[in-house]
Amino acid sequence: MKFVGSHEGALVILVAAIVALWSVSAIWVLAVVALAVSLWAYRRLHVGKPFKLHRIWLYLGIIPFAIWFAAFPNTPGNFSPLFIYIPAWYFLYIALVEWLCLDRGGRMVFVWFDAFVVLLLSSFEWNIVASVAAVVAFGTFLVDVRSRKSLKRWILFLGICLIGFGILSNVFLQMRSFGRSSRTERYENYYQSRSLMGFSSVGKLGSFGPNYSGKRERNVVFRVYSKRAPVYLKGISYERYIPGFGLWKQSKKHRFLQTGRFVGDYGGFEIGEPFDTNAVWIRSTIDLESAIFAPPGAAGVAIQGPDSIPYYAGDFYQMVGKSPRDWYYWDGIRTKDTLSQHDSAWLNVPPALNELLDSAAKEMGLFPSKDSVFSNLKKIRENFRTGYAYSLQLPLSKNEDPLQTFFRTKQGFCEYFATFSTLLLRRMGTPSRYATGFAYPEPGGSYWIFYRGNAHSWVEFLDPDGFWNTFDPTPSTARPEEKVPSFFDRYSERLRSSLSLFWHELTEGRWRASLDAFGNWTSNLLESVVVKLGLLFIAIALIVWRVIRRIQIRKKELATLSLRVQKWQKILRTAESGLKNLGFVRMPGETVQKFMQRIPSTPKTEEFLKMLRSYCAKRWQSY
Amino acid sequence: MKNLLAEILWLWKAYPRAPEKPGLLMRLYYFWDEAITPAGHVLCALMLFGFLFLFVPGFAVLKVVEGASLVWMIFALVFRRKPDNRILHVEVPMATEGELVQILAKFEKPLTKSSFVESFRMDPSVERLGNGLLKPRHRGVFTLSKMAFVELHPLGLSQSLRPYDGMAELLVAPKIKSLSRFPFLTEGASGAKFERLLRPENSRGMEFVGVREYREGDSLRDLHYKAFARYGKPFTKEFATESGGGVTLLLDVSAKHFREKMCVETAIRLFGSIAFYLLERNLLGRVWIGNEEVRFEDSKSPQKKILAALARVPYADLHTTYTLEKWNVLPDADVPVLCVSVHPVTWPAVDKQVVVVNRQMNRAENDSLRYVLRGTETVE
Repeated sequence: MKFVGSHEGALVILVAAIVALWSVSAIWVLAVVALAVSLWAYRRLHVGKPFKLHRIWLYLGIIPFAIWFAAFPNTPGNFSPLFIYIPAWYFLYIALVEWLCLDRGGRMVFVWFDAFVVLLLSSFEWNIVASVAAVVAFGTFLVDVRSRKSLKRWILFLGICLIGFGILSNVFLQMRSFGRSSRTERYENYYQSRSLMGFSSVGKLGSFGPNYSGKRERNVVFRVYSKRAPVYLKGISYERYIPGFGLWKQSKKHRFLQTGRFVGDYGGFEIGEPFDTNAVWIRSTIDLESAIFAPPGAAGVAIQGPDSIPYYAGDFYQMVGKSPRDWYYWDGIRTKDTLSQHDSAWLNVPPALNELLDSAAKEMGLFPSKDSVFSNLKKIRENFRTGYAYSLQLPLSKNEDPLQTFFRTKQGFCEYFATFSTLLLRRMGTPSRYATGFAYPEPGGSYWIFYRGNAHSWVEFLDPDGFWNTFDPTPSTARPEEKVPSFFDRYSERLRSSLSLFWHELTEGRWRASLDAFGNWTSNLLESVVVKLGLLFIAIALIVWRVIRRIQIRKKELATLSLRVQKWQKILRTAESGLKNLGFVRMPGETVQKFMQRIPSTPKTEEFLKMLRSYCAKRWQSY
Repeated sequence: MKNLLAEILWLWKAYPRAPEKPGLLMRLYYFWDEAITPAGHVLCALMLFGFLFLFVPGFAVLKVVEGASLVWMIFALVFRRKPDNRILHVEVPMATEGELVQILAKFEKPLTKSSFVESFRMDPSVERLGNGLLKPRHRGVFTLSKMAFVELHPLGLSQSLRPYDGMAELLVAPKIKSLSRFPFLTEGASGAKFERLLRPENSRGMEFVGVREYREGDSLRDLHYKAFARYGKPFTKEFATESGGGVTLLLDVSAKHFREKMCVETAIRLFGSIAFYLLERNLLGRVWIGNEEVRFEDSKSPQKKILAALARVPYADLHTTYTLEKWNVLPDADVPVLCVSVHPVTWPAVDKQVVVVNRQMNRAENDSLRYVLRGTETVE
């Protein structure tokens, strides 16, 4: 005998799904209603009275859930779990409809599937109640659908499956941790892969080194969804160099920016007019310390959550606390940096390095005048290109400054090139600052990718017109070659990027503002008189339609009968109705003849008796 | 507009729902249907649904569920054993469209709790309700190409089959509604031939065989007055009738275009109603479907024979065309012939014809030609 599950098993699974969804979403009203409906439906099934399923209930039923989905209030800064729970309630609704109409259109397989989808969606922010409910539901399902042939065989097979699953899980976990010798090493690897060093308030020369070699060089750090390639993405720029230690320190001068225009839920912090009002979205894949990366000269940034952020002298933004995982920026029109325009800090050179810098300037043929800024830059670049080698391994010594080692050995990488150039330009009287960030992204289709290996340092200098410009002294031949990614890498990167963008657009996209407006509009509409009148009109039209259908059906019934028969039936009905008013009712199955016999002949009944007599005499005549 | 909608609906329904030759997708569906139980379907569908959320943060538990489901399904599908029982003989009773029919099978060993007979790869118009119970939606002949003895896997997620070696077919007869009156038969000059047969005194014998309820048109001379008096409603005496003779019925289902094809089913049902009407009154002579005669003189149940013949009439669909160029029966002065068709016929042997049409239009009717709208079950 084919067995498609018992009613009791299905009820347990449904109740477990309701309890799980109730415990995670805390909407007790719906849960109580669902519980009541499922128990009532079970009672009806038990007595063999299921409803007939009309698929239109399932299709129309999505409307209230869709309205609920569109109109529930936004929670800025957080992902609302209602995104998951509202669809879960809809699946529960479908499960209950199928359950109500089981064997009359509804099918047990859909009751199971919809209930398990509810349990699955309830696992989003699962708690102990939801997990117990899920275990009960799955256990009941497995017990209910088992083959009734042999219980022992079922226990054996289930046990083998559970053991097999346990073994495979263990093997999988072991493979993931294969090659790691200790937990500490695992944590360290995890920490290194998830965080990025070198962008704190104190920058040490050499901190970028690990980014350029090793297995994490090709780790994606930023995805910038812009049509224009942001050549540089600045994180921080430094003001003061500490000789002997190779340290840079950022300026303490800053001002707090307040929110201005918004990009969806992201509050904008602007310092000037943007070049393009369309903000560019950046997504970071790792934890950053507090830096907000943006192109040099960006007009502002937009971040979810804070009411204000500090904007530092040196033209960079920072968070108070940990950086977010994504933000927006606006490209800026070239403006003068009023915060640091005339600051002598950007000319500061440690006296201990004066001699070194003078020797270098003499060697390169640099001139300390305003008119020589661009020729100095050219000379510095040419000198580095021809006379220096790019190397990640610098033989540093405790007895000398790293810059002295750099100048002596004529080798180094971007941090050294940029630091040396900054101090050289300052010595020549050109205000400069040392900037770190990322540069030279690779195209990813409709967006730009910055890898760990794209971490870079460069120089920002103030030109004679009073504008800050970027200058990259690192020889271009030293830039890492763009590696051609494999098909799998390309495909998986594209998939991750698309999912990331899709989720961003879904959860914090600007369309939510229009949906909030739609939500307000629908609530106003539902309260308006017009809608109420419209509903009344629909109700009246439905009633009228029903009446007309009844009349049409009756006409069709009468059409099959001849006029003569209709006439005699009408006479009989009139007589019966009149006699009913007088207290005489024809019993079911009683012939008209017999009925007539028990009616006494009185003035009131005589008229009706005449009708009955003529009915009996003439109704069955043939013509 | 109503007619246009009806035509569009017919075209939509007439479009074939299953390929003539199963391709790869169809074979995958066969595997899904035959090897996996409904419980297994739920688990597989859940696995596929869960993939959408596998990489979404917050659904860590899902990975466990997906892994467990995958392991269970692989285990259930790989470790299946062929059943040791088998089907020896199958009997499929004739069904009526829209009504349930149970496949009756005889097994080598007694059935256990988790085994049953099932017919797979059925035509999409036949609904399978499990345990060999079928519900055909429309008439026709359906070959039960894969009947099998099915046994559930212990986990209940998969099943194994042992196909039946023989073949069987499901015959689905059209649903016939009884005709209470048929005045067209005796109308006009062409009705004279029919009227001779209908007169009770001509067909009635002397042997009293019983009483039945009065029907419109019965002779008053045959009223059973005692029964009338006792029960208060009229009854008619029945007499044994003479055999031989009777109305010849012809069903012509040739259709040139889809509007005529739309009317074929109504024509078949109407033909069945008329045949049953004449049979009840012992007036049915020969029955022809095209040029093939349905013989039932020695049959105990001529209704069943007629229904079986009607069930085998080819289904009028989009890609098949059936034509009847000429009806081979010669005219006979004593034998009245009634034809039911979807377009007027001009064969000399036909005395009266009922034509089922798709749309109500001004058509010339006379006493020998009556048009009936598609969907109508009577002839007025």
